[in-house]
Amino acid sequence: MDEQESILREFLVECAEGIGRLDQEFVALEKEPTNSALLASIFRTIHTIKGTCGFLGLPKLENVAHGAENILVRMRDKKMTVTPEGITLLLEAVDAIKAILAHIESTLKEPDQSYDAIRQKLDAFLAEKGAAPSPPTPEAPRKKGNGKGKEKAASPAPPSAAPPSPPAPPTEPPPPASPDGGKEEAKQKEGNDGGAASTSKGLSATESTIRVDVGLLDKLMNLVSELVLVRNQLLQRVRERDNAADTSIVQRMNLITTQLQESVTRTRMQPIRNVWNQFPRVVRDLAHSNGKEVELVMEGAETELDKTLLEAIKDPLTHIVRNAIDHGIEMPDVRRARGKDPKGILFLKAYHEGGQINIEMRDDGGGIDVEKVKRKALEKGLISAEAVAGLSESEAMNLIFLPGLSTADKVTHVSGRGVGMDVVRTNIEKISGTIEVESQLGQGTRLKLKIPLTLAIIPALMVRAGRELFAIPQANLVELVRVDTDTGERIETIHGAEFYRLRGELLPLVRLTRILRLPEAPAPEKTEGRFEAEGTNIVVLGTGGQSFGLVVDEVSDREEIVVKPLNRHLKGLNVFAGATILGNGTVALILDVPGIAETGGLHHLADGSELKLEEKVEAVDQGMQETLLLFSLSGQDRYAIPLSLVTRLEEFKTSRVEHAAGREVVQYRGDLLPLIWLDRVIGSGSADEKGETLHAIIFSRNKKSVGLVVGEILDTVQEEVLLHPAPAGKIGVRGSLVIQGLTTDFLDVEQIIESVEPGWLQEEAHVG
Amino acid sequence: MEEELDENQEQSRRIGPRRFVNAGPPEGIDRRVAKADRRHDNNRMYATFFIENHFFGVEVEKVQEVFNAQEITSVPLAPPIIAGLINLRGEIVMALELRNRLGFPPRPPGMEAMSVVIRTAEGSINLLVDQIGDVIEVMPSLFEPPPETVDPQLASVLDGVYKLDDRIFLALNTEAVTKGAGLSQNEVLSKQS
Repeated sequence: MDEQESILREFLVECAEGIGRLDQEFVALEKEPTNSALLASIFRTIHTIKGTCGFLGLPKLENVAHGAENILVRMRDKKMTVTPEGITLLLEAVDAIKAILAHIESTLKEPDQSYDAIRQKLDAFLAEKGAAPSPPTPEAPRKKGNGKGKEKAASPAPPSAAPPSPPAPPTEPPPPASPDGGKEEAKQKEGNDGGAASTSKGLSATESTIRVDVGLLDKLMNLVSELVLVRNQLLQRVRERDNAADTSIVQRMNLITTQLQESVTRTRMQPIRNVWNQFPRVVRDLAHSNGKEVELVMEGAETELDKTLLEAIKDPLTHIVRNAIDHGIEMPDVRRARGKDPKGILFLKAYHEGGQINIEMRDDGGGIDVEKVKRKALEKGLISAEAVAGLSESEAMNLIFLPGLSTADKVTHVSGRGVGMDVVRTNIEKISGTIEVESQLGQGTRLKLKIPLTLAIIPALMVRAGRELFAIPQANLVELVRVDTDTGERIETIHGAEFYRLRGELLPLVRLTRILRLPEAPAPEKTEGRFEAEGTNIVVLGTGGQSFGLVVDEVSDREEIVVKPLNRHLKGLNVFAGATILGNGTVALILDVPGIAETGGLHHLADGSELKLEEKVEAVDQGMQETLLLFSLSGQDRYAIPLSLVTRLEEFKTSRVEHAAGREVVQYRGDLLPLIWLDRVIGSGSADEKGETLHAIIFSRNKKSVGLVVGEILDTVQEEVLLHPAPAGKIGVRGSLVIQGLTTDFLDVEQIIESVEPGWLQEEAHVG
Repeated sequence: MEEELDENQEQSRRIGPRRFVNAGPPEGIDRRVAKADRRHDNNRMYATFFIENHFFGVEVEKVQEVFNAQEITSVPLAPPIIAGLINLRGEIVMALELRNRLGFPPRPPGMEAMSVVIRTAEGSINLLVDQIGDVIEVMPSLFEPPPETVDPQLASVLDGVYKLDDRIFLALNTEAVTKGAGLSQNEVLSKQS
């Protein structure tokens, strides 16, 4: 980079700082038109830009800045009142300046188009409202410009890029030039200005901060990450050797590394104010154009997060804010009619909690009409009617995150096109964050974002599946559950999908070995249905407000891992979020929790059938409600068995029934499935066995299965199982109860099977 | 770790078969001269290796390092061409099974792979080969485009062949090896299901 370019770049950086404040300052000025400190700060920024332009040969920029400056001078000297009209025009000028600066940043030249129009507009306004514009004083700005330039050229270490510490808030306006210039320069500027001199303030601000190139900080961060990895390795080896002297040295190194890591992480932290500072303007403009009145309240602007994360949430937050104003907050008369203050409130809050940044957006607008959302989703074919019926309130609310959904009656510039909230969620999830929505019709909406503090080094839980180690980010971890068969807890299988009853709610389960198609580690027999292997480890994970359980072979330690991105060729695997190097030097893959959920088939809302299953089975386990399978044998009778015992339901052609070893069997999944005609065992024996197809309930135990042939499957219901005791001696019937108004016999499946094939239940499967 | 690596390089140099005359003691990188024993400035140098007794090589400048078998973490659901990931001095490098890429049958059990780490536009990639050979120097006059009889999958990754005294040397084009590995996102995804 040659000298000219480097000077230009410095100029751009300084302008960025000043311009970044301008939006906020103007909006604040609108609320406080007589605040001279604000005016002075704004003036200084514009004045400096105008001045430096001359030296750098940027006539168009100088032109616009000059036009704005003329108006500001009048205002500052109290020769013109500060009006919203004036501010709007000045903001237009600021936009023009931003546009020119952006062009310069990418091309190092001014744009080709003319900016005379805005200058004329500014002049016209000035003529209308104030005296004739005063001619610019070419000498003074030039001199300043030169002086500045010289200083810069002479300075040995050219300062560059973004400051690590937050830009000073508007109430403390340091002259834009001072952060990198010397005392002399600041004084020079201040003297010529005659404006509110805060030289001493500026000085102290100068001395305590330093500008560092972002690339350098990135490099530092990488090096620290590598150090963390090596430290992990070293720690592990030393622990194994258990040598006292080594241990104490490594402990010290460990301490230092941790502190180093924390410190470097902090250098990259910036307050969320940097993103929020543009919101006052956005809210103002949007409210005006919509004809609404909105007050923006921001709390926690000083909350810090990593620079890259800050950039990532900028767009999503902006969209949310726009949404709130476009669609959330109602028109003033509507609000009055509802008994609300005509001015709506948009409340933004940020705070640290649980190792994450929480950002809340609350508005007191009309809230989200859940019914409308459901209707729109149905209309657009994004969800089936049955699925919609089975949605809980919060699930229905989450429909707003479906791509293509918008209940906006009016499509505005950015919001209403239905491309918003899904992109917002995707972007948040990309940085390992989560977003939740809550709303009350007529009252307002609340959106809550949770974002990890930093991406590079994260705490993780190591788990084993199929003998391989995998890392699960702590951020997604809800709890760990161990299922032991002796305590009577069970993993239930319904139509092939597994669930675990966790505190009354059914948690869908996903087996990691199955998702990753790993060979199952040698373990005690795994059977479907009621009986589980000795102990099962379930890692309860959360993603997007939904939880599920991941079944793993073993749960190992918690480790701090450095996240390394996956090779381009592997990025397509959505189950992995990256890779890391463990303490022992081996590579381990990091699981992507949303990806695992999706691969495991847990995106219910898209797949109606999955939800249907869930809706039927979703037990809010109060009392002793059980899910029962209802069927009949001869058409008139009714029987019930617990659905949890059922492996699956099948239909066979009667012609496929064969005879083997004195039993009736059917070829099924590569094996022979023995059949038991329930009607013959417990029924009246009058069932018609001559139909073309027969229906069978498959019951499994110890890797063996048997098919219980029934007449007709009727339904599944949820009932409290309170039985009237059965007459003594009736095999297979535990009792009876009334279901759907009809007497139903509650069967004991095991007893039935035992009676037909004694010993079948205990036997192990023969190795076929 | 640095020492370990040198050791590996040591080993691999010795393991490499000696085909050419001038079998001097190994010091630094061995140089073997093919056919006409002349050093020309426009002679090309290749790091060589074997797969199924076929003699391959890549331009020596592209090679970062070579070593014996290393612990590879397999990546579930990845297509078989991706053998897995390795830890190369703190960097996670992808291991590519060259047999699969070149259309050879899979490695017989018991045969350990050796690693040739090459530099590509996207970073280092570890190519898994059967055996590592010496660094050779070949004269451009021996160069020919791949013969028509060569399997197209193989031909697509070759720069060409060099006809040496006793065998054919197949010069690999590293870009073609990694780019055309058919590992676009869609392919990976479809293989997943």
